[in-house]
Amino acid sequence: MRENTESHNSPSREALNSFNTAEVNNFSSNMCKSSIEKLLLSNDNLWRASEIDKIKHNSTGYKNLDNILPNRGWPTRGLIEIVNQYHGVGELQLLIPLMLSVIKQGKWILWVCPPHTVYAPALQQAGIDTNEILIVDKAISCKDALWSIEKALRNKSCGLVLTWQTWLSTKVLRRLQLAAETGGTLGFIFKRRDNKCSPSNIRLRIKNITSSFHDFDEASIALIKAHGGTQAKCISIKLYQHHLQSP
Amino acid sequence: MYSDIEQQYFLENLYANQKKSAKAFPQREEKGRFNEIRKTINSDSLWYAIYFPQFKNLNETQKKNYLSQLAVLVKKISSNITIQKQAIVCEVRSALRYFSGIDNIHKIIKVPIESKLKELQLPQYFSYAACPTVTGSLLLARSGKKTLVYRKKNLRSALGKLPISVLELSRENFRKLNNMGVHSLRDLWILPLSGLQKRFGSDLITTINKALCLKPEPILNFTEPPNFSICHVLPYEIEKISQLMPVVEKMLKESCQFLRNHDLCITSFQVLLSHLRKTDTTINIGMRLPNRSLKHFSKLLRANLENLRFSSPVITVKLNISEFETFHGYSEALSLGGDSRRGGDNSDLIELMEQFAARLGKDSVLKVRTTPSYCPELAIKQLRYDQIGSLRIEQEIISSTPRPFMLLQNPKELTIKNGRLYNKENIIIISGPERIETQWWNVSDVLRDYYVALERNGSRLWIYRERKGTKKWYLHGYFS
Repeated sequence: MRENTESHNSPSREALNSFNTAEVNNFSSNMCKSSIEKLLLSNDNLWRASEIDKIKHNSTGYKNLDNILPNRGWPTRGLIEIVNQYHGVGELQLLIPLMLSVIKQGKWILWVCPPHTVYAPALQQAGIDTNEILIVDKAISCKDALWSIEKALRNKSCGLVLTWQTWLSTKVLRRLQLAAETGGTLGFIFKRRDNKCSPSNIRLRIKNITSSFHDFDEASIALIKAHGGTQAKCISIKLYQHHLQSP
Repeated sequence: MYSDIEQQYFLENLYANQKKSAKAFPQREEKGRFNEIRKTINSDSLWYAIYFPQFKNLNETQKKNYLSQLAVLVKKISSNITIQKQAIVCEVRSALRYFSGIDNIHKIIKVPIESKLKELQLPQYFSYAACPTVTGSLLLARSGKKTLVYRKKNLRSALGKLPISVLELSRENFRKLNNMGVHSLRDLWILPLSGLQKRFGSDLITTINKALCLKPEPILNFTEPPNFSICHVLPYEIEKISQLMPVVEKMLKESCQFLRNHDLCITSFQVLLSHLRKTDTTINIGMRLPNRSLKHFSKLLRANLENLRFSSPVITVKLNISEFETFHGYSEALSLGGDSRRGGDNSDLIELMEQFAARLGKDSVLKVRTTPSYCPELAIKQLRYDQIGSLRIEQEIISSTPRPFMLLQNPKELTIKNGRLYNKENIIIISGPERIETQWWNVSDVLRDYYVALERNGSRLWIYRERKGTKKWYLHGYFS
């Protein structure tokens, strides 16, 4: 009789057990989630799309380019790849505003393995102080070049590292990217060929749009991929206006 | 060998001319001051001077270097050594009993000094003398007379015999004194010193007073330059750098301890690796700024060793440090205000440059600067790592006409296809010409017309046409 009464007034033992189990499972899964969350948060090398806004960015100096880049500018640290099949397509003109801002911050620009002699009068014309520039000559092995790039990216006095490489593997790029993150430095790699699995923050391609010979000052830039970017975009910007004036 | 001068030649004369002497040596008039000075002079000192007349034609750096090397040899008889002009002077009174007289002292140092002079490829002779004052012994040694004056009271008579040439006066002063009939120092004693001072300056009077022990002689004691050398004979042969590094790091740690103990730092060190039946490998590490950090030394050495291939296993490791600098500490907390951007703390960058130079070689780390030249290839100067004296370089004024970021070291000849300029693809000229005519004073004068051009593939080029000879077209740069 008592048992019947109990069964009517209170939930059955099975029901109680099943409820408790669900609660415990829920609790343990919450615990597990929070600990995983903590673990993930503690890893600085883990990039999260939600944190894109937290990374400081500098304007590129070109409004059109700012518009297609996430956070409207270059990140202050990380790795950026510029894919250009030929030299002289405006790859350095694109970085003049950035170089000026880096020098203004009192940091150095390191050029690793430039394909030809870096011409100081041109740098001066662009307003870049050559006192703040160091060059690692191209006559070194690829292994030494990568070692130099990594060392420079880890160095806090270097604000910008520019390097010219034909192609780099994903593993190497990832290593360089981590070095740049550690040193708080921005690295630009000028490459001839693209690496689709590259972990770099931004990948750009300077395209040839000079089908006719009337657009000397114009360069077409395509965003291949960017952390936090939505889709590939292409813009054209004017780079060389002062060169059109005859002496 | 020595003529012990015990003459009282001038003492009587000195006593008779007491008033005159008092005028000549003003210190004597002030009794208190004179006594005070006397107190500073150690009356028991006996200074042994070794004079090297053959050093006269050497430059100052060589003199200093050679005398330092010779002074080290004298260390065995005295710890009180001073380096003078072309001479080493050491205190030997305390060593007289230990070495049983001055003759033995001379015998002990004669052989090593002569062999050192032979090693330095210099004539193997020197003159020497001893007396109670540094200046006095130096004057006696300069005269070439091997004189020993034990007692201070005999200084005046001994020095009086010396010709005035030992004072090494200027030609003008020497001539003046000769015209006055002054040929020896004894002739100077009788002259009023106030007049001498007026005519010949105070240096002459000071020298005489010092030589006669009437004025204190502050001397700079010679200290042997520090030297650090350590050698490890390995118990087994080493072929890998990973095995070698712990040994070298241990040696570097000892060197850093040495530097810390002596309050020194260094700008270079040398590691010598001896191989079995092969020539030694020498690794020279240089730094832009003095340093004594073990971490930095290890980094530089590792950077250098990583590119090294051993011809055969290493059996001995030697670490040599020969040049030292005084350590100057600094406090970051004390760097007040100023331009933080150019705060001078380039230590990070300097370390990086040193690492690059250690691994890649000094020729691989460069800086560029402009030079005032119309010739494009001469308008730039590349400075090597070791040529960068100061990190900041003053820039020259440049041309306002467009210049490319990248300049080809050797201009590339362009071809003409179907009446059009051609590199990898067709080229058209955008602007120009900019005429450059320079270097006419050289055999290879520059006569060019420069143009800004565009290649069909999108490359912006800087091209020129020779205005002499075959009038060919060349690619000279990229407007990257």
